[in-house]
Amino acid sequence: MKRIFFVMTAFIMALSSQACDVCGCASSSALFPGTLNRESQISLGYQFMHLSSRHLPSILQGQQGVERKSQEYFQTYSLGTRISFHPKWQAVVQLPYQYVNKQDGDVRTENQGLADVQLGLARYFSGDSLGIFSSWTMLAEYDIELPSGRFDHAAISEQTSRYMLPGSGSVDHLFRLHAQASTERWIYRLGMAYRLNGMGPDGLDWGDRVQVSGEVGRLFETKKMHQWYASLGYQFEHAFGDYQNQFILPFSGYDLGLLKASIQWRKNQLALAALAFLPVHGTMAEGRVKIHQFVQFQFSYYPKFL
Amino acid sequence: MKQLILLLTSLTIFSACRKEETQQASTPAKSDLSIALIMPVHHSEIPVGCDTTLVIEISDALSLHEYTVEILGTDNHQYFYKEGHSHFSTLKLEEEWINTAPAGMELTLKVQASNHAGEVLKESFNFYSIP
Repeated sequence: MKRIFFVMTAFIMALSSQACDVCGCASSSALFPGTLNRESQISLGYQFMHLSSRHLPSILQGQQGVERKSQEYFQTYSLGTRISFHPKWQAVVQLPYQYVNKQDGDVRTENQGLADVQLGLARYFSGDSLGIFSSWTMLAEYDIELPSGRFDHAAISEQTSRYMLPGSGSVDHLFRLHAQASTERWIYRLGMAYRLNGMGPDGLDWGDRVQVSGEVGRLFETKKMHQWYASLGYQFEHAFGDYQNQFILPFSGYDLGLLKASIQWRKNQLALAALAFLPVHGTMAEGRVKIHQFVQFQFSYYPKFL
Repeated sequence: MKQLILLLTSLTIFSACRKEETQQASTPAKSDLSIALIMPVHHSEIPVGCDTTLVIEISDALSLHEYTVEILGTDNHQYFYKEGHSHFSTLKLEEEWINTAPAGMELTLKVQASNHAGEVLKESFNFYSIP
């Protein structure tokens, strides 16, 4: 029973890792974990991403042709919950807060605020009637991101780009499907997601995102009911071009493959997870934007009263 | 099984809607980047010591990137310079400039602007410094 408990928890944690709509991350880019264990949960999440941007050749006096470099650090804190209100259904709420720090030469720019609230509904399926997936457990989830985050268009300046604003200004939709199979010690997962981004008040529409992922993990148990799980996986994301006023924006859209590693722990009603992502192929902004560090941490509590 | 089919159908419908929107979008031509001098007009005569407001409009279908505004005399001296960076698709510059060029000199206002496609547009206008 405990093992099953942890298998499900591990799956929960892994679902939090679909988080790479980097260029379109006007709001929280971390998708809230799904769950297959049907437990209600309350979570605190933290995501850190360090990007560097190589700007277009300058035309400014004394800098002609120079491609300036800046560093961008995105940090997202999130408070979320999943409430099982039916054996097969869960309600999802996530409240993210985003802090962005940009270092451009000697100029440091900060931007922070509440990001877009996410509300969702998740449904479990058993794979019994699905042939080859008969031994799999499946989850389908729909989330909506409301334009509740801080979207201050006037804040866009020489140093503050549109994607640095915490709120997207648009209504966005997320569709996700996940499947999991497990043996005594091993867990296999497949996932796919589609992010349908809406148009902001300024006419900007971040391109949609399609994501597929796969992962293999192993369970370990230690004394005193400590349970561990380590996994290795791969995630591929395709981003459609961003567009504004019916024009596709240059340098937008990308294909990116990421290696994903996680280590997770659970004891009774508490769980911790750490995930790291490593880009293995593909480029963003035609090679002008690079991911240097991308990690996620999550603390979860599974209350018995929910 | 029915629910799964319903979900997949929904995904397909949403994807199809999105595809239609994307197909309507296009990549703008270079000519979308434009620079307009509003004030003073091209070939204006500007008295020495006169406090003049330069009004320039730069626009593009895409977001702008950088711009420079420079006034050069025939003596190759730079009488005015301003530069900046913008993420908007239109920019209206209003800059104060006092003409310190000697009377009789022809001045060239050079405006450069780039957008986020890496395109650069340069425009030149002439003024005359008068007593």
